[in-house]
This record gives sequence, structure tokens and C-alpha cells, in this order.
Amino acid sequence: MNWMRAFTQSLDGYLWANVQAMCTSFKQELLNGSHAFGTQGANGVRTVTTKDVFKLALFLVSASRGVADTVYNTTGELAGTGNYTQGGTTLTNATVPTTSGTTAFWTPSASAVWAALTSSAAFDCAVLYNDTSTADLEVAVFTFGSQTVTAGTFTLTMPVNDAANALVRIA
Amino acid sequence: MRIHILREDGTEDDVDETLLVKTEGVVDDDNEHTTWVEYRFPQSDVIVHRSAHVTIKRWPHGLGGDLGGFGDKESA
Repeated sequence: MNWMRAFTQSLDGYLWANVQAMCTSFKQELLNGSHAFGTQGANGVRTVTTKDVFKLALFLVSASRGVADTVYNTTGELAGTGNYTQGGTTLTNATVPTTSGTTAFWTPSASAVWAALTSSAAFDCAVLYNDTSTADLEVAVFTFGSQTVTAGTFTLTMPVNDAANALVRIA
Repeated sequence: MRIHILREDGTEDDVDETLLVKTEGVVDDDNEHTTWVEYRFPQSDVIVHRSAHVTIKRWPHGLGGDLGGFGDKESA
């Protein structure tokens, strides 16, 4: 569990950790209509005809990304070396948000892949953010076991796009 | 099979897999399923190639669906 991992690291003398979370600011932004994961006739006054572009960026083990994040920034991100471009990679978004039962959900339609990558240091976190928004509004933080990549490929395969597993779920 | 490597001097190269020592691993828990592979030259501890593939299993922190009520008990 992520809170246990963060707690253990603090016991070890580390005061930093990336913690998986849906950003609180994102929840407010949903109510304000700040994100378009898909297109639809939203209401009689305004119609969303263009989806926003969402990106995933990779962050170092030493970073402190989490629920209080509001916007993407390069603090703690992998350096722009070894074929990594700061800002991350654009997600393929060909599957519109949908519902099942009482849950709405969305998942990118393809894996995020960094090829011929040599990471500047160990990383354990990916940040999902809205690249279309002027401020690069942050959506969520995902954590995984610490990884380093040397002249290799790093792939983040998306979860099953259903009500129980999708990347973004509103239950 | 040719493996792309990063040599200690910082240069990159493609070498035959048979010249390298291969190590593979799997991490599987509630959060992720990860496989990784790394290569070294024999008699060396330096990793010259490492790839990893992470599958995020599910999001543990979805949004709740609570609705507020109208008014409050004292004024009702």
C-alpha cells in the first residue's frame, strides 16, 4: 500500500515520496468543466467538440508528487536526457469515456512507451495531466516499483477499461 | 538477437545477445504487474541494458459519489 511505503521511507530518513492519488484540484476542475476526456453535446449553451490532449510524465523516486498537486511541472521529473523529453508522452485517446452501472470511467487506448531510453535516475511515478489546458492541470499521480532503464524500453500498459479497473473512475 | 546497450564510456551499440548475461524478473502485487530484463557483460556488474514493462492493475482511489442534502436538520 502506498501510504505504508511512504511511512516506511520516512522511517528510513527519507522525507519524500510519490503517493498515488487523484488530485483534489482535479475534482474541483471536473465541476468547473475544465477537462474534456471525450467530446459530446454538453448542454444547450456550450458543446464540447474537441478532446483535450493528456500526457504522462515520469518522476524520480526522490520527487514528492501527490494529492495536493495542482499542475504539472518539471520538479522531480526525469532529466531531459537519454531520449527522455520533459513533459512526457502524449496519450492515445481513441476511447470515449463511458459508464457501467453507476461508475463512469476512461482509460487511454494505447500504452505509453518510451523507447531507446536511458533514465537519468531511478523513477517510480507517472503524472497524468491535461496538456491542452494553459496551466497543464494535473489529473492524477500513479506509482509503481522503482525502475531504472538503460538503453531500453519502458512501457506503461494501461489497465482494463472497465468500471472496476479503468485509469480514471468516478464511482 | 541484437541488444541495444549503453557502454561504460557512454557510447551506445548493438551487440549479439549471446555475448551478454541476461537476468529477468517479475513484480506482481495489488497495484502493478511488472516485468523487467537486464543485460551485463560476463564478469561485469555494470548493467548495459535494462527494459521494464509496467501494467497498472487498477486505480485504488476513485472519486466517491456522495451527494449533499438540501437544508439541514435544525431548520427542517
